[in-house]
Amino acid sequence: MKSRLAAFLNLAVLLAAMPAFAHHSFSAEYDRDQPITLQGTLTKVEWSNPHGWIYIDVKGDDGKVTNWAVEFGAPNALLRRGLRKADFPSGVELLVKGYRAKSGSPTINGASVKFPDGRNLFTGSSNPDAPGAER
Amino acid sequence: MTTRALVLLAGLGLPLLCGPPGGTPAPDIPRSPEGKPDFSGIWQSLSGADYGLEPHLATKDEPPGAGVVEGNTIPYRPSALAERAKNFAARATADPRHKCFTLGTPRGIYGNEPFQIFQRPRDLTLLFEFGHPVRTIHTNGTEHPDGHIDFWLGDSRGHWEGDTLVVDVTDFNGELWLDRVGNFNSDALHLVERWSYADRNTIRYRATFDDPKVYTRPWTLEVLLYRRLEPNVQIIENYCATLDYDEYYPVPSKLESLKGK
Amino acid sequence: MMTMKKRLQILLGALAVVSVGASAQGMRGWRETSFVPTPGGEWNGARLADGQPDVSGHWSNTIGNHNNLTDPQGPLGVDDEDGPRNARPAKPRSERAPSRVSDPADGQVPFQPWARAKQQEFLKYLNNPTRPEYVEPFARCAPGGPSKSFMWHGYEIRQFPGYVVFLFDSGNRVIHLDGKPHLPPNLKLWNGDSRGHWEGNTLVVDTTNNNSKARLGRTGEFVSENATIAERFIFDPGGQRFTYDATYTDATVLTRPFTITIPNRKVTASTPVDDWNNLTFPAKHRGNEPIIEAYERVCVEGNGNHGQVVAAK
Repeated sequence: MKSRLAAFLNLAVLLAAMPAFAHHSFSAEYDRDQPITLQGTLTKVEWSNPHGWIYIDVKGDDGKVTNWAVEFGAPNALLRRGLRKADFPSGVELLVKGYRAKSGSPTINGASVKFPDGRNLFTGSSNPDAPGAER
Repeated sequence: MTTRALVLLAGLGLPLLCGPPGGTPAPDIPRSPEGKPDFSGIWQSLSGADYGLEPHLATKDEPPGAGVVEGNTIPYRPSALAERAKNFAARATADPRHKCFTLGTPRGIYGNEPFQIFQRPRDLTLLFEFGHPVRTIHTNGTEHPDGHIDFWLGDSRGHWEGDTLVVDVTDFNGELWLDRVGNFNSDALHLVERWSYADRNTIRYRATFDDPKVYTRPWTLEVLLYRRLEPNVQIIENYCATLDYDEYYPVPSKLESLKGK
Repeated sequence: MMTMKKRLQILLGALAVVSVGASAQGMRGWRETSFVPTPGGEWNGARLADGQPDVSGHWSNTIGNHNNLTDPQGPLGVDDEDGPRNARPAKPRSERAPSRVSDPADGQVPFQPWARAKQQEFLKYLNNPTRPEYVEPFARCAPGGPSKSFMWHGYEIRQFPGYVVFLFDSGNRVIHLDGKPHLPPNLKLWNGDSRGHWEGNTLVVDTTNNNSKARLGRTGEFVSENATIAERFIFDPGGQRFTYDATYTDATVLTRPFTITIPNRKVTASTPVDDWNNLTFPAKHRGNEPIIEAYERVCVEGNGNHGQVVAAK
């Protein structure tokens, strides 16, 4: 419970940095009634403003691979923690939760982006949940 | 040493001490209160380098050029040469200038539209007409931030060597081209610029490119920038990225006639 | 009995509130519900070599964003755009900041009937943009417009002989101080064409050549391309605050002129970083004095079609 609390705390702090004041209106582009969870491998990270983007290859039940775009907040918060592009190597397996785009394209607004073991992708080496980290 | 020898030596030493390599000292140039050359003003290249950095003949849409690259040829790695060929073949749609955020660095300097330099002791602010981005050259002794960051215009830190502003640029995102025919750099580019006055209305701009992912060795280009002298000349707003969706936002006086449609 | 999942969901919501709240406490004064406008008058603060009052540096507005012009800390229409992540209870209207429209007294834009209907239409379809024109332009990384540019993230003021330059996340504004004439009137620009001069502590600016496409907020208020804007940037000589007033005159859209008022505060090295009002980073250098700098300001979403209903159009 404590580690999950810490993970949520990290996540909450991160999400607070992508606040109510997102560059566009959330509801203009995303559907709060279409939450989705995806598992896939990281293909690309875009460190762009106003939003950064993560792209993951997700294999469907039919075996077809679709590349999904995941929107997250402005990269400033990550840069401030010392995270850099090199901290997001292609090929890592990720579990992404978010809300689908109203357009129906394979695009989501990311609520959480984690490794399958629950560690938050965005907290890097300072993540208290990292293996061996002191608490 | 005799007086005559000293005078001779002094006479030899003077041109060595003044001005950039290849340039003569520029008397009567604008200077800041701190005594540095003041590059403030509106500047524009006439080099046509944006049409092609290397020597090239005319096309139906573009003029010929004798090139701005020292030694004429950019020393590409073989794999990079192949990528340039792909860029060239796709240039009608693939040239990033079509997106119009920015030409980036250094293409914005020798691009076809003017830019304005606003100078103060701690930095130079460069406002480019095309795409209207702003580039800051920090001259306050600060260094590049840690680690590689992807910037469109790079991170620029400058210092003075005599009357030459030497600017170190890193942190490129590698998403832009250097001209319309597909010359390009990667995110590993390390650019060194040298800015100096050739005369009070002309800047000599030299840029040396070091990018081991793309080139086999460093190479240099040089262009002149001319001060725009028309009375009341100003940079005109050009957020050309908005042209992609401009049709959806008619001038508001037309909205009344469009209501309900 | 509450499941663990439900308990964690509530906790997440509460933590999000607490995180925002905690940083809000550190940022007290950056979400003001009331403010005292700075009076115009003499300037007895620092001056630059050319005589301008020195107001260079990083600044930010203290009310909030461009969601809602007339109720800037209120919900956006009937659909709270915060989405499912931020279930903040709304404060009563009397406890929220006043309308950004400071004149007329009712805090509303004095629209002609056709323009009011159009504004209501923009608002109705903001969160369901079935047509491309319903996508609020700022979401495409269009410049914010002369006034709305101040209703977003922190920004920077740089001054030079003959110029005051404003640098925003999306776009920039150059105020020409040298008395040169405006551009030809048929050139309509997102951020207008500005001519200004100093009167004591006030930068008085006349802004014409507006294309007015940026609108005035997500609530859809707008003026036409015939609008002229008389702006006053009134700086407190203490160097920590200024008030922005902009009076809009537009016979095409309005029944009478109206004024937008926005309070602003200085962002310094000791301002807590919240990646909203304060987006600066500590510069890397060997000295001891704190130097803050903003990173590159380039907004590139406009050319993408991420998530937009009208993406294919």
